[in-house]
Amino acid sequence: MKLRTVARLLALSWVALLAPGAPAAAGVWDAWLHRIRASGAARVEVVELLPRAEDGGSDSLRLRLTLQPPGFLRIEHADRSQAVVIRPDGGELLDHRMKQWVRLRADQARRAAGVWRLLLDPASRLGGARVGPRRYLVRLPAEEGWMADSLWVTVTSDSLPRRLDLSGETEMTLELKRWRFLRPLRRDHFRLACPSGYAAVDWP
Amino acid sequence: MKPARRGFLLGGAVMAALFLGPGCAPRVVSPPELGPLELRQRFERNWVQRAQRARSVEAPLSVWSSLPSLGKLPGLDALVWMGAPDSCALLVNGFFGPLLKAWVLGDSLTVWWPDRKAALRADAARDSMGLERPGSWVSAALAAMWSPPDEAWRSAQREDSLLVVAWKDETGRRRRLGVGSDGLPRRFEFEVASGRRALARYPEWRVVEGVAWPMRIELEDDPKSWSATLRVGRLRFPGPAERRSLAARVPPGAELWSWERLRRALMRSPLGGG
Repeated sequence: MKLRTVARLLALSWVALLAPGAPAAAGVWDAWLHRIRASGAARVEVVELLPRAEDGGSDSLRLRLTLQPPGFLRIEHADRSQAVVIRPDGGELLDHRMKQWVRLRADQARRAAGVWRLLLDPASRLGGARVGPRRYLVRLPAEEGWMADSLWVTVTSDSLPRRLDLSGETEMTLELKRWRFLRPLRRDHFRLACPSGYAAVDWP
Repeated sequence: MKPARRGFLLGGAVMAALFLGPGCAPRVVSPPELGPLELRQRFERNWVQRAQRARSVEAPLSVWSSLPSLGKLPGLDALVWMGAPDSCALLVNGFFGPLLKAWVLGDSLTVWWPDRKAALRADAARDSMGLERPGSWVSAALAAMWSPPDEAWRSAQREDSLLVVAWKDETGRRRRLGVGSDGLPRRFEFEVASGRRALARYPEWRVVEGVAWPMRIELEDDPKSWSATLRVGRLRFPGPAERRSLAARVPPGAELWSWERLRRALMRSPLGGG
């Protein structure tokens, strides 16, 4: 068994013991959620690192994420080639390279939001514990169908997420930089229209 | 200007237009129709050129497909590497980076889903894939490398603008290849099982580095249960130093999945990622 896997299992069992109280992780989660709510919306630059199994390296992808409670997300590629919006009632994906617009139903949009919707979830639903200075381990609820079972969160000195490491069925690292808190955005910021000449497709 | 002089100039212009106009206009010239022998020679010259280049091909690919039960599916953005005659690799990109990687080599198919650390392995000799030697089929379909036997050319017949060559393969299944007047394959029809046929159309070709290559490939089966259109982007023929290995590379410890599990999981993850 890999050292990393052993460490993960140990950490998870420790968190399981601590979960009923779990004030530390919930506290830090609440802190940034409170800041987003107080301001209305937040925007952050994200670098996604995906491990490459073939040679041990990783691929990186630059994204821009906009969050607005309750449940509004907009994720754009930094090169503007693709964007996706998620709302409680569904969402859309716009892909300029393929010239296509894909409509997502509410359940599909929720799944598509993946780990991102965690950033808008009430902390009380998440078990977790502090595992080091500015570092927390969050146990993801199994019934949600996440592709990961645990999430390591590293926060900045003012308690904003700086790095998220997902582990479990999927492994991924997200580095978050330049948090900006914004006034509430208009709801049409979380809608994407189908440009003329683009293929409009419903996700099956 | 005096009226007489103006009339003279106008008349001159009209005369010039009448005499010179037809000479300057582009003339529509029908190419002489080639006989079956010349067409075959042209086809074979193109085929040999493509076969040489098909040993190392790299190209972006966009794939549009539809299924009668689900309608039009979202398009896929992919990269393809080809090592004819029997190997191909395909990388499909998702919103959050690489979504799937697939290798077809000879009899085998391997799919690797990095997000889920899951793999699918299938072998034509063992599993029911609907195709024998999938590596050869995929390579042939992408490069239009269909090759009728000698005797089939002798009974070739004209159908509209195509010369159609029909034959049966070693298993007795029918094949029909339609060749255009430029010697390039336009359609290939083949029996995949009794009562089931598949069709590949090649409506667009472009000359890349001196070789005519299919840039749009339309695939469907009959009775129609699926169809796909593949558009080839900027095509490259990497030299030996740049060539990638097309052997499947799945890390140890990957969970082995079935087709059904892979299909269900893909449908559940519209964008890939966590």
